[in-house]
Amino acid sequence: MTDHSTPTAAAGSAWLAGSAAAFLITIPVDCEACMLSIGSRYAKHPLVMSHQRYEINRGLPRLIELLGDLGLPATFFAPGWTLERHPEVAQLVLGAGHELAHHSYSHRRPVELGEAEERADFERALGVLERLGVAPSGHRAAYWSPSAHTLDLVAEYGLRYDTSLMGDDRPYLVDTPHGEVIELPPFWGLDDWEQYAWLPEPDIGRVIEPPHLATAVWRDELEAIRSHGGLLQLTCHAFLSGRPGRVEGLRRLFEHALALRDVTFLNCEQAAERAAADPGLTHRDVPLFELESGLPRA
Amino acid sequence: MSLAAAAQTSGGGWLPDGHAAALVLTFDVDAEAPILAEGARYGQRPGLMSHQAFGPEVGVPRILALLADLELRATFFVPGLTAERHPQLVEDLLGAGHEVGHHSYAHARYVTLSEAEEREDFERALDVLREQGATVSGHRAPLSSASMRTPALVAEHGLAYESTLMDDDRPYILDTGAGEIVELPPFWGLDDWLQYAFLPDPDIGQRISAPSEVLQGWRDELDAMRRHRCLCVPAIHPFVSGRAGRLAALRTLIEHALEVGDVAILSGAEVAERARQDPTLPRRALADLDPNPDPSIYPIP
Repeated sequence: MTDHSTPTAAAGSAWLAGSAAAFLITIPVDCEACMLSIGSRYAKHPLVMSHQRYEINRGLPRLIELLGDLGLPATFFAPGWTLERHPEVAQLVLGAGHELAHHSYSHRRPVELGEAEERADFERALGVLERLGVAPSGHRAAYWSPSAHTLDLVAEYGLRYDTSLMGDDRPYLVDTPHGEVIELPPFWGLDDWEQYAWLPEPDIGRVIEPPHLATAVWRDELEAIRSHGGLLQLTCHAFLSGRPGRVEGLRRLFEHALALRDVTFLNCEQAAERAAADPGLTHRDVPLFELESGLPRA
Repeated sequence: MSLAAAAQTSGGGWLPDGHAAALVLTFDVDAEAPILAEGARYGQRPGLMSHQAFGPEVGVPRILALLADLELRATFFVPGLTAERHPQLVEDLLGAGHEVGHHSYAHARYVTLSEAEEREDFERALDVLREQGATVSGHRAPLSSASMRTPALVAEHGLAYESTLMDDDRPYILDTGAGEIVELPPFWGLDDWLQYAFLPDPDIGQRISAPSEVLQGWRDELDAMRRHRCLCVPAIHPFVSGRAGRLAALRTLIEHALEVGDVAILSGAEVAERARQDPTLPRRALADLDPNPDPSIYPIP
């Protein structure tokens, strides 16, 4: 780790193997689950259901085609419920040789579930993946809302990484009672939901940006993260980013990243494997803040 | 595949030969209706009512002049309430050779109405438009918020198509349970309301984008849809896009579609008729949209 390091790469960046940054493309395939977790009444709301079904009919195949065109890896996070209802999700993702990872069973927020309920949901999702022949390496909490117990569950069930906490822009290690979990931190600023999601109801967002502005946000972050030796983990929901203009915006972004020549594209499993071999990673606890009694309340 | 190659391989289906995409210019002439649907009290606020009346009174004549200038036919979805309040509107649209479609009577979200209320609103709107001389073949639900019953009403009343659901970017055949209709899917990313609409009260939007940015976004979308052989259905509101800078952006977008030469600009009724005769299009059942979720998994009603 001498001759290929960029001058600005921070200590603890052996996992980058000489690249200036790592680009992780992550694609949640929530379909209806993320809306039903807000309210089962949306099952009878044809707009909401059709908006989510776009993912199956067009969005997912189109994103997989884009990845194939450019020869890029990606990690797909699908709730177990979605995998059961739409068998074509696993067929498409696994058929194209991509990584399929754990994204809960129901897409309910773990932080809003009881401990037993969360465990049952977590196990049920593992069962669905197992029946598909998938032993997932990693997990992403629904709505990036892990509970105090979630990372411990990830460790207990032998998954190597999580991608739910936002405490860094480089991989780090989270210590749990059942052992270490590699955290591959996401970031709201690198999520298409904040750029593209809008429905009359439920309230899932307030604006729809044009793709050239959304991808400018991500491109600026990409160029800057190269000076910090970090990871750019982009999250593209197939029901949002599978639209034609957004797919072509991603194509331009990915082509730009490839042209930089110092950015390496990895899927999450590959990034976690590299991070696991890096002795320089930072250790952190699950970040919980216990307020002392008597503290003045707002 | 290059755009030229895509055009050459185009078959004789819903997309006319030699074209890479189809563009249906749809105008939702909502006027006062969506604001009154938020509360009848808003009818007593002249500021709001003027903001909405701008649509039929100023926006529509400008849009008609633009379409005449470019010799294009478009589809106008008009709520029954708007057609009554502005009695010259439908006559002007029909006189200029455009299609007039069903957009409810009162611009209520059908998904919030009872079955009887929805049917009454639907039939009242149809009566108003037909009395004013329109041959109605298409429907768009206000805010795309159809109920599970709406597509069946569309079929039952003999309409050919709706432009409401968003599960595709090409036409498809929808089995409503009461007959088949064609779906021409719109897309929120091509809705000017999301880019431009603002009022302090009621809250109809939070942000006003620059027309130049909207133009670039929509032109990129159209070009991407040419690459992917899609149906491009922008939803344009005259009270929103009738403003000078936005209309100029819309003109530039349409001129771009004309210049590239492989975009078929058609009315909704024309695309629906082509789609109806295209055996290769997917057939989907409305009932299949409902996943019947297990309440033990999804306990929140």
